[in-house]
Amino acid sequence: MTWEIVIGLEVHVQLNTASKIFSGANTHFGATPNSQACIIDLGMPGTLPVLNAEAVKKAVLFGLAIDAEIAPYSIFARKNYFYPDLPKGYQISQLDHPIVGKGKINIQLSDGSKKTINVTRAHLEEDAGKSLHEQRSGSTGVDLNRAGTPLLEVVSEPELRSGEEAVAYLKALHSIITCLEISDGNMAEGSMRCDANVSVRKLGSDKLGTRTEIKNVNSFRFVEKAIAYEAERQIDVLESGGSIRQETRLYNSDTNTTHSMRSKEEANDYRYFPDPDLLPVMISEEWKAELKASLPELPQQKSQRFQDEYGLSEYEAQILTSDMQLANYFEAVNKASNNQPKLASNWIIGNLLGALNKNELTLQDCPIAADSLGQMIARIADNTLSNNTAKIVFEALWRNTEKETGKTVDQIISEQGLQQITDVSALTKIIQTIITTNPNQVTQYREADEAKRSKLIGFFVGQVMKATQGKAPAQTVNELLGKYLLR
Amino acid sequence: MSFTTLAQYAADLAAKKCSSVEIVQDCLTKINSANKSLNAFITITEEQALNAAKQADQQRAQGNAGPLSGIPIAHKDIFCTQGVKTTCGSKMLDNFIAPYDAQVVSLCNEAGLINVGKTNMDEFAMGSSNETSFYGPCKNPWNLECVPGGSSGGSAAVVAAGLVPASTGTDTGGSIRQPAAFCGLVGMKPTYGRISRWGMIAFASSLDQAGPLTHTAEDAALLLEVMSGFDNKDSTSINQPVPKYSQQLTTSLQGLKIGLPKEYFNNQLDPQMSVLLEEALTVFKKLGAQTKEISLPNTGLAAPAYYVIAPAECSSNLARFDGVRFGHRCGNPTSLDDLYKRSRSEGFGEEVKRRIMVGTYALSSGYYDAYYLKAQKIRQLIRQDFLAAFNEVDIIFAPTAPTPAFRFGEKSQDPIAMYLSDVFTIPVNLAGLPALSMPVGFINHPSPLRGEVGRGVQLPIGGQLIGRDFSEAQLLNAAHQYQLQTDWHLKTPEARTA
Amino acid sequence: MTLTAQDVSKIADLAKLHLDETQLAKITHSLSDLITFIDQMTDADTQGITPMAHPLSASQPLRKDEVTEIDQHELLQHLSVDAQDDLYWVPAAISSKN
Ligand SMILES: [Mg+2]
Ligand SMILES: [Zn+2]
Repeated sequence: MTWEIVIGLEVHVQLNTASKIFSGANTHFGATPNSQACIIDLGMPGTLPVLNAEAVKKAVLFGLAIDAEIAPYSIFARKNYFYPDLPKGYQISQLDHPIVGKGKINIQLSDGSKKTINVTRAHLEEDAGKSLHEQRSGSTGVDLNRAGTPLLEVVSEPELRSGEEAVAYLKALHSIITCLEISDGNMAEGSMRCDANVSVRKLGSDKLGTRTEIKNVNSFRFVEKAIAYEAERQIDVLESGGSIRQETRLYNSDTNTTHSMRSKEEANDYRYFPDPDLLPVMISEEWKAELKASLPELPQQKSQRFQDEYGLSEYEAQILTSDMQLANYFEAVNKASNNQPKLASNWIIGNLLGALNKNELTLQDCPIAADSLGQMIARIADNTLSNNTAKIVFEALWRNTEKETGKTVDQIISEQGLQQITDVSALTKIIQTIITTNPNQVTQYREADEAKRSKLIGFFVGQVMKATQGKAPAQTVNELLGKYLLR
Repeated sequence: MSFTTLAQYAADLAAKKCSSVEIVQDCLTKINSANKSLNAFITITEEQALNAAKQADQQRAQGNAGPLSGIPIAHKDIFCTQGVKTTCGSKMLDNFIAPYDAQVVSLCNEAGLINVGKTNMDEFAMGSSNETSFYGPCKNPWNLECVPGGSSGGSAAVVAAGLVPASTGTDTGGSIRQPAAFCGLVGMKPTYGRISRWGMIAFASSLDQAGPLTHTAEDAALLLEVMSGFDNKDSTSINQPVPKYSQQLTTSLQGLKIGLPKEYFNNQLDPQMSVLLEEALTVFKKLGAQTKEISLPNTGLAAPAYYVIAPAECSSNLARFDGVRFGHRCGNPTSLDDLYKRSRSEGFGEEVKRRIMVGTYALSSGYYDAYYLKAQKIRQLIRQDFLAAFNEVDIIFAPTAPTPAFRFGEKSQDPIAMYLSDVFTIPVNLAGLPALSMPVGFINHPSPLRGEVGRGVQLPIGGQLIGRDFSEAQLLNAAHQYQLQTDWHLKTPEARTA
Repeated sequence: MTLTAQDVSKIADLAKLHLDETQLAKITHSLSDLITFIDQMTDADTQGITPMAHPLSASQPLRKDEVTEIDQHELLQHLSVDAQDDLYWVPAAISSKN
């Protein structure tokens, strides 16, 4: 039996405003517990919410970026439930009239195929505080610093069909919010949190199966794993004749399993109703037009431009535009290299990202400045460096931790004597010496057929490199060898 | 017993006939002796008041005091007062020292008005008799066996008893106007959004509005000027300039069209009250006004709709009282659920719990449309009734309450009977309109009071003026013109019982 | 409309109120009366009527995105019966939500 997995995602994006959505308290991450929970955030009797213009603006920008309907009139509602990290006993959220309506996000999978995922809605709401369960046994400590941080909850249609698609969707969403600079998108700090609605059905069926909701899966990697686990669990249940319970489940990344949190029957009755402390939010056509005009180049547009302007492959362009910082870095490298986009792309994707990954660094902490990498590439382009010697420069730059006081590419080249031998007569001399001192190999080469020769030439190249300490440009060496070996 | 008005104190202070310290001292003396029998104050802020009075005198000596500077007032204990216990009449907040001032309190402080204490009230403003207060009921100065009305009963009693010239109250379904009527005062609920709700502990956010309680319309105008104004801390506050109400009291009433809603003047109204309301209309007619019968056909639906909307909003507004960050916390909670349930059950009184339960029910899954949404539609009908009426008339005149002050215990065992004492005030809150109650005479209590048989004990009756959105100036003008022709507002409790 | 004690228990649980047997009986009775009272709305013809959430048809004012609040947590935590080490404390909360 073949099963189809059906996934819808609800992603909570923390908007990077300076102050909270309904109060003037600071939103900065990592402060002393409760030092950023003001009387409004604490739900002190008599306090009232006033909406942050910037949160509205950021929500509208997002809506415009995903080509969504922007509600001319949107309503805040109270979602009522008791929990220690929810100070007022209700969360101010939106139900019936969300600020952002139907939109779409395009995704691309590793096999190159593309898909458009419909976004049902995106609404503004306030974040809850944090419950700390570890510090004292039997007690929960409550830090309300996060309470009131603006969230944009982005809800997709159940149109994702695999963990891979879900991750592609999240990456696309991540690149949009970071490009718009409406969120730092930092998943580790909880700036982007994902709940997945997962169900399975027999392939070809058009009826949705009973779904479970997996809460708070907080990295791209875990999303894929959690979905895979949950889908398999559901298929096992169904294949052994059981049925799926509609419930909320929590993902445990240590065991890579999900476990039941509460069933639909135990589900809260949230008693939503329009918040009487807040009035309808009106978004004028003028404001909308103004914001639309201010939209930056979006990841997809950027990707297209990188292909058209720099001649990059779609694959390269996608990678480089998946993160705006990376795209900016690429463009800076290219500029410093005097327009060598292909080399810039190769070095960034092939070397730099790998090195960052290996050292568990983000681009923000990258030890190599875009200018330096660009200069290095310029030296490859003008044949001063070979691919091999460039690697030495790259490593030197990587260790140049203090960028300002670090050495320039040219200093490294001259101090380490990495400059290639571009003098053809000098190289010719070296090659002739090698030919005279290795007569057997030369004979072998001359007697061999074309296919064999291309293997045997490696020996001579190696000898040349050894003699020049790798400083001979490979192309020139090949040309000269070809010429003198057959003479 | 006598009283001094805000306007009189202002004149005396301006003429340097007395100092603020003398006035405040005098008020405190009266308060300390009268409060034992009235139970009108939950907190008396003697020390702070005297300090503030000294400061006010200094400022006046330096020539930078406003007209109301140095005059004592009292705030309903629903308004947060920084550093001063703010209980909302509840055990839940018996330990709550407010960390900030309500906007109304800030504005009064800025005007130099001196807060002498926090007045008793129905718990969380839920009640019409003051009997739901955790601190015991406040008494009506006109007769200590009668309720002062509610929920702003303490605020009405302290002014009626001449302890302070004016006080602040809040009105969600009649909580300023009904106690004003029961205590022989002017009490005004302004247009929704006129006064900031910041720092006013919420009962039902879409209905709550603060207002003044005073002896005269002129004083109401003076205090309303201070309390009103846009506040960027309250999203529902309306950004409209505040007229100088006290300077718009002298307009003639010639040609003023007064509507008389037939649904309010029905045959269930006490005949003695009908007579008084008739007499009041005669005064208005003498002043040049015309009267016209109008209809507000959906009036009967107002109380049922109100008892959905107000409890629904309160069930959510009062969820923050969970024993965690402030307020009552039960001893030795065994679980989170236990902490919530015991803290709330111990902290809230019976009426508050009842309303939380009704509101929770009305919002719960499957009932929202039938109750909350339906009530909001009825709310629209009620407002449309008024708007239609205002096409025909300028203001509406009606009784404030169906009866004069009733006795303690008379309705406290029957919630619905209690709720119906607000039938004439509730529609105004639903519609968001401004309205005031003013004294229009006295009647014998319908049933003789204990120990008072044959002595002709009389209780004040209130008449209500209802106007269009932001027509406060017009209502105060009409009431002031009426008070120039009558002396009901000058009567004092002792004068009546002597 | 008549509510059962079971209905009322459910509502009390949602509202986080503890009711003992006597209170439950009493409040069940008075809630039933009240619901009968508010049920007077049922027959009102409200077809086509726009629900009114607010008396005035104003729109939501927007605040400038500025940090205006200072850290007062020590003062504010004095209002709590159980605040220690900068945190508010409650008996262990098991599930997490939202
Ligand atoms: Mg959700
Ligand atoms: Zn959410």
